[in-house]
Amino acid sequence: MDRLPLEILRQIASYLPYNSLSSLSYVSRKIRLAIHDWQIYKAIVDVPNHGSLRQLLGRYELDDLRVKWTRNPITAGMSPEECELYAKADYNCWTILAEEYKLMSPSFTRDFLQYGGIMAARAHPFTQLNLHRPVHLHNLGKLGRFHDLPVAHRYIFSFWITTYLLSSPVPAQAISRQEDEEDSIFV
Amino acid sequence: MSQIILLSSDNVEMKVDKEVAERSILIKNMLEDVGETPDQAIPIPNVNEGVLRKVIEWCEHHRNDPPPPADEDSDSRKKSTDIEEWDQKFMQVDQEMLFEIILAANYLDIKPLLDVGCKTVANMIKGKSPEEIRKTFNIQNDFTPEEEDQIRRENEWAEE
Repeated sequence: MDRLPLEILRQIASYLPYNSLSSLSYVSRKIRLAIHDWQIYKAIVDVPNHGSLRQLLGRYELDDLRVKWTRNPITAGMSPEECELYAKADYNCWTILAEEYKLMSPSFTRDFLQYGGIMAARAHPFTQLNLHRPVHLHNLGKLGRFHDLPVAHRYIFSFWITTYLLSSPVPAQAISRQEDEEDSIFV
Repeated sequence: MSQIILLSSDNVEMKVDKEVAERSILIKNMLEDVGETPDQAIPIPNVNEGVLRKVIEWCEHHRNDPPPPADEDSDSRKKSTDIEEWDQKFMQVDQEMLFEIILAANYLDIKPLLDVGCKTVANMIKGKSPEEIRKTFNIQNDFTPEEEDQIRRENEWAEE
């Protein structure tokens, strides 16, 4: 593989989610030189829901939203290292969404503290989607009452609601009117 | 239907429908420049007989496909690594052949075939550790331990 021209290595890399891209970048010097590049990191962030995670997210009917981080901060002026960190944070935000068990686990709080705040400040769509998800789980009867949740989780949900309301001028299309009416967990 | 002759790098001639050969933008442009169907074989110096046969097989199967969209941003091929069933079977070849097909698709400018090849390789990489990737593709680790440490340190933002 390492005898492939750089442009082909880069095309292969652009199809990978961040975790696999990261592994590939440790394989050899030539490969790292080819793919450790702002354009690759920007490209993988611009793939809505990181490709392979879309199927998992589809369970929540989020696939139809074609969510894209429209304020992707990665630009030509940034170092590849900085671009990689954003790509990594973006991937981890989608992972929080994709893995249902995480919502009620201690790692959920940890992951949120690591990536949630800074990405919400960068208007990453996971805030909006994460707001949709507890409502969805609540409607399925999987979440219980808001006040029964661990305190840290309540703060996180409150944070999502606040950032969502502050950054969205109109109600989210992701949440149907019916869900709004039935929703009682945020009361 | 008019046919043309392609000449592989190991001097094997292959008769192909012009419409099939024109899946290659390189050959299509060449034929447009000449202006008429050439009597002589068109040399394909970078592609040997075995690989050229595979490439022609792919072009035969996809002869009626619509041309790929010119606008990269609206191109749905970038959105996933899904590969249609026939292409998956077509790409079930040894690694040497897989990379030769990718290189030939790149040289002949057959974008959809290049995409399928790259997606196949991407799917072989997904979920593997660096060591597993090296093993899969027989790649030598040429990083020094110090370099590996440095890369890991650069990647530590927001880690525990």
